[in-house]
Amino acid sequence: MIEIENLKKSYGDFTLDISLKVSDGSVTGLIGKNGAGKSTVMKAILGLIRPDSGTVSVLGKEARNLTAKDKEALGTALADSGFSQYLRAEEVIHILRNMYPAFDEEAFRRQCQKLELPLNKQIKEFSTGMRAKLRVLTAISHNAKLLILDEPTAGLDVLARNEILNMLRSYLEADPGRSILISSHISSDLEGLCDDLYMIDEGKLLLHEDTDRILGNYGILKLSESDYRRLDREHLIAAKKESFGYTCLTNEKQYYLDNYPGIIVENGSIDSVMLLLLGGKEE
Amino acid sequence: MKGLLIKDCHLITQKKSTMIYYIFIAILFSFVTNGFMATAYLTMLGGFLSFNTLGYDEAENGYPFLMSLPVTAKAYAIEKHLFSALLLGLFWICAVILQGIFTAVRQGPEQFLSETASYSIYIPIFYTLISIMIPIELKFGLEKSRIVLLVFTGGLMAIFFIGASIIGSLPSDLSDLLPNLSDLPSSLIVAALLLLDAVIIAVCIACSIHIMEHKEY
Repeated sequence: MIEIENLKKSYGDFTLDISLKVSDGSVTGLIGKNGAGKSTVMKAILGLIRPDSGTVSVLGKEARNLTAKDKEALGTALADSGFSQYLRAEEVIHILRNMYPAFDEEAFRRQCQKLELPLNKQIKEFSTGMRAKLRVLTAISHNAKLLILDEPTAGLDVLARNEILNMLRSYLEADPGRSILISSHISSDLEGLCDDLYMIDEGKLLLHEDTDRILGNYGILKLSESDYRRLDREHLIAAKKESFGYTCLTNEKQYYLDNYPGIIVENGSIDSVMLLLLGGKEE
Repeated sequence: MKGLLIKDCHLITQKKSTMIYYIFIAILFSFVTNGFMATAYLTMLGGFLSFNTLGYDEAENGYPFLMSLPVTAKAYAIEKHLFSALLLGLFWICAVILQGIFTAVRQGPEQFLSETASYSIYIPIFYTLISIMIPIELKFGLEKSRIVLLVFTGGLMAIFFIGASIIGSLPSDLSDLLPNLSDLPSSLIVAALLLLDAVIIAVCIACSIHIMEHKEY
């Protein structure tokens, strides 16, 4: 669905340098702190920026060369961009009906009712959660093969986030061939949805891993200074000096559980992996 | 492109009270001035309303989303010029109908028919103006484009006055070589002006397409 090879894009001091792949039927997450380059990746995929070098291929075509017909297969929800806030949902329906031949108006209206989105109110009168729901609803309403979602749950409470994630799960269930690339800085949203994750920081790829492997195989070791010295560090990815000794990240949790029964091994999570990769010294 | 046209139609109808105010002004113009002023006002209003949709699109970082919809940069640029032409034309027709009613009541239908042809002068004038403004707005954005337009207008006026003064200061034998416009048939002058107008509009549309295709969002 998406293939990015050695994409480079510079803005002043910031340089994005990344390769990424989203396979058919998969959900890929892009995670990183604010300013890591997630939105730049999304823009490159949508052909909104010109890469300095490298290639960005979407649905088998160079992103900048996507035709209007090609774009009908994409559903987009961007964090800080959408239809004019002077429009009403009813008018958005009218526009989408004339933009996407596959627009499912009935489902859109049904979802608006279910999500309590008023059809005759201007978008500017919507709450943050309502706007986010409308953006995602717009993206999934026209039988798109691929969703590009940039921070779709940012700034929302847990209920609104859950509603949006449920919408995405329903979208995926309807056709197993559909794919999603979703960026977020809320790791719990991605943990339950994504097949694999790309972790980026300052425009560089820190980690690409299957979500199940992160949750199953990665672990956090809490070590005293002496434990750290005697430990086999072959499977440590990062370590951080703490007041009590060291906190280490491993991608072979079971190895340490089996061979070092006395040490504390916690299950890995996206947050803990990210914290250690960003703050820890690589071993 | 149909979707974009519909979006723009919805956008211009958002401020209904302002529209009613503008129409009221147009009717007032028709009462107190001649038909030319009121027609010019309404035609210009159509052009500026269509131009305002660029501001709506740009506001709150709207372009990245719009360009992710099934439209190309080229189609977007063409749609803006097309929408301006349609709206300007629609407002001109409304203005002519309004003037028709006023003139027919005040001076009789013959007077209106004789004036209608001359009202059409406003279409190329205002459409050219809007066509020039669109690529400037696309290139510089809402805020900066105002300054650029002021500089552009000033530049045009400077060229006009410098040109006029150069022609005026030419020796009489040289200035005699320049064609005397009053000797040319008026139809030829009109055709030449319309051709010049068409060239300017075509260049503006090409510029808009080029700007949109090379723009990053």
